[in-house]
Amino acid sequence: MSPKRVLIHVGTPKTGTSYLQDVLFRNREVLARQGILYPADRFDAHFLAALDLMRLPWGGLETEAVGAWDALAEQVRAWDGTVIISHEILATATRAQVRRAMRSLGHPDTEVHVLVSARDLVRQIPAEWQENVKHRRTIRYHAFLDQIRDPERSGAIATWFWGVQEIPDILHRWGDRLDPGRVHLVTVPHAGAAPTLLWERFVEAFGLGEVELDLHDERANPSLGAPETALLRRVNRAVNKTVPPADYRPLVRELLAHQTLSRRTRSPRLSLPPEAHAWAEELSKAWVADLGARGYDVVGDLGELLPEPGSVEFSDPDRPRERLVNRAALDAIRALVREAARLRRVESDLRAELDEAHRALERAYLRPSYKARERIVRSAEGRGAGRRLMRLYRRLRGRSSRPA
Amino acid sequence: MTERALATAWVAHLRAGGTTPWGDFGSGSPGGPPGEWPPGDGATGGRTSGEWPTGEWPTGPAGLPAAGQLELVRRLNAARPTGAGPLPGPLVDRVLATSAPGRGLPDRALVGVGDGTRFGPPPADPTAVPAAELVRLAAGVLAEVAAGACPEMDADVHADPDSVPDVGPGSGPGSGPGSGPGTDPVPGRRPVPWRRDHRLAGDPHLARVTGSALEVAGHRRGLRPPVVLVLGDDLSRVLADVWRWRVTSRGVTPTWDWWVRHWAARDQLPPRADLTAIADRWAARVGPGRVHLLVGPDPLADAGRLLGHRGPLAPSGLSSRADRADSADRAYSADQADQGLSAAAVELVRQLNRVLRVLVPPARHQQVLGRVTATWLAAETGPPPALPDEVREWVRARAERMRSQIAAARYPVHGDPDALLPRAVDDPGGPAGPGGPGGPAGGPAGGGSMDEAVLDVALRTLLSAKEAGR
Repeated sequence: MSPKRVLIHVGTPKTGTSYLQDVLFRNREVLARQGILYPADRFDAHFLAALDLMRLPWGGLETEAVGAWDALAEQVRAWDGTVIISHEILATATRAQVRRAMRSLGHPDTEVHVLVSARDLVRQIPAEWQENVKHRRTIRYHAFLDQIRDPERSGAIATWFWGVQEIPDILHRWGDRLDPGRVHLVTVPHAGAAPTLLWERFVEAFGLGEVELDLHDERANPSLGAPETALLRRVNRAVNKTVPPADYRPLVRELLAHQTLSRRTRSPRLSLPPEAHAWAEELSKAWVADLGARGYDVVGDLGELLPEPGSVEFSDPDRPRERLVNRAALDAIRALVREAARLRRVESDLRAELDEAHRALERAYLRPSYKARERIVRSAEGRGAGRRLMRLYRRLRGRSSRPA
Repeated sequence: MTERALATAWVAHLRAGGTTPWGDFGSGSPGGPPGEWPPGDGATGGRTSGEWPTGEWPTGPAGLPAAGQLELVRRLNAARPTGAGPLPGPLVDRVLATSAPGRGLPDRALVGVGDGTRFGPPPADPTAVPAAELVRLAAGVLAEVAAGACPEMDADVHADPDSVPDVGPGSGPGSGPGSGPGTDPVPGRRPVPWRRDHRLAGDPHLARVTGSALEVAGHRRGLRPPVVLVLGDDLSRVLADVWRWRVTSRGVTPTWDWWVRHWAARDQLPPRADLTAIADRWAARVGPGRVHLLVGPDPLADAGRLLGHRGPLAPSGLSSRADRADSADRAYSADQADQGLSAAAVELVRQLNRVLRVLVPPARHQQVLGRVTATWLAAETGPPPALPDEVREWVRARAERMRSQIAAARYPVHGDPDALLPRAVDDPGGPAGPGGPGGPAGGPAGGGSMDEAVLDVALRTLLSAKEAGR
């Protein structure tokens, strides 16, 4: 059995976190046999715990998060071996929230490690804009860039962006009470690296080398191209006022963005305009210098937080090539029509099942035995002794509701 | 003195009750309590020198509390009555150790005090922290205090949250303030067997006022099937009352502007404001002869007459804090508390709801609203919020449609149906307009911003919540 220690992975978004969490969730029994606890009874358990820790509203999901952090921490404290917690929105936790988290996990008596996976800023910035668009925002790309470059960081977008992406600050908030050797920075390889390299780094950082894990993954979080993101932003403008979040999630984010538009991989990719690229590169250098001086455990290479040499040709999503947008729109319409047809079939099937259920119910009501039982129950309910008898009967049957 | 030592001294100054802004501290400007500036005698945990204890892990970097938390303490000190002394140490500790919940600006370091890193959000002058951020922080503290202050729940409320229905005045037969604590018979007064019972539906504010007046006047309910009084007034006022009721009793979080625009976009009235639909449903159930629609701002005379009450009814009001506390002790209803709650106070409750939704289960959330925040805010009265300009015409059209429907109604109507039409904003009986004390659509009294008005309510509430004995 491994010694007691807690590994808390607090970010960042768009660094393979969904894949990692999916693997850990599906393999939690295998992990437990190796003395490693991934305490989750549903895929988003750690997300809910993070909402609770940070008192964060999230489109109504927060009501499912009441008490989730304390429940998670209780499981952590009760486990003797290694425990893994992972969710990227934990990156935004304030110092006070980090304090609460650490104390509830048993720090300083328990060995707590903080892990952050990080990707270079030049790739993260367009990815974050795309995530904003996939979450109903309608802000244009250049306005987004202006907001995050505002030194005051006073807008909601900038506040969130830097909260989940500013690696030195995240590690300062989460790790400044820890030995630097217990703070682990996993860098995301540059494009073109071996596809398994990032996972190998996660395995190393989390100490999973001895565990035989099923790596099958159904939870890819694919990216969109520039014209596809531009289209999605226009869709948001068209539907935001009339489509509630509960419908937006399955129809727009899942069906259109994830299942349809992300398959258009030959369209121009999102990237930074040249001037923003230079700014991001300078900032990245400052980060790397700062992080290098702190003595953290780096799994990978800090140099991977700098942009790759040679820039991707910039395709402006605020002025997309309309021909490409139109093609993406046709794909979107086709997907929606197919989905509408599928739902019509579902509706028809359900209607047939309902009709059959009604007919079965009517047949049951017409049976003499049912009528006789109904008379007996009605008669019993009218008398004190009968009511008590019926209560006893229902208790024995294990049902609490009265019959219709 | 280094900037860091000066900051530590300022923290102690605030703990001792000081009100000097950070920018003036150390420049010789007075602002603290006599004899306590420069800072701290330790009476409230003030720290006089040296470093912030490293074990405390404060909200800001550099081992100090963050700028917003410090500014909130300073504002609390300033809101204390003269001579009231410093804030209790536990309240200060709680504020300094709490981060604002939800989304907003992050905790910011005190400007001028380096923390050894050039990353993270920019430092802030505490006086420049927006009032909205201070409200968010105060709401976080208040929500925690309120949840802790709420008495243990009754066994039946521990049930499935769905067992607490989102129904209320006018949502249909079987619901409404008439069945709530606000209009329940006074304990010990037996119903009169030969008298008809009553139900009050429609505008939740009018229903509460009427129910309270009946209760105070000693009206005894009957055991015969009920008479139903559907209460309504200027439709814009009814809408505002329904929104206030939903925020303060049901824990919802939409802003007034969003909520009323939402209904306008659908060209529907919220069920609790659709007076003719309520009356129709009741008429189908009890017969049109026992449904009465009372239109106007003062339904008491008609209500008393229709219910066979001898003698005049007068608005009761719960005039003193002691009265309110007594009411709270006997399951004080949130219905009672939303009477005339100011727009700023409702906005504070709305922000509390955002925290309480993730802090406690739904059933307990409603108990916190009914038993704690209703008591805290009972004195925070004011006009309802004003309609956003773009929905005024819609409300007028709906009111006119309702007036036409009433003309064809089979049930009796009392009062002038024209009273359903929105009154002018400068009418003393109407809602406040933009720039007046109306609410989110307008501004608070005195011309300050709504955020400042909400902050004022939050400060008073923090101080009174502390004095409530926690």
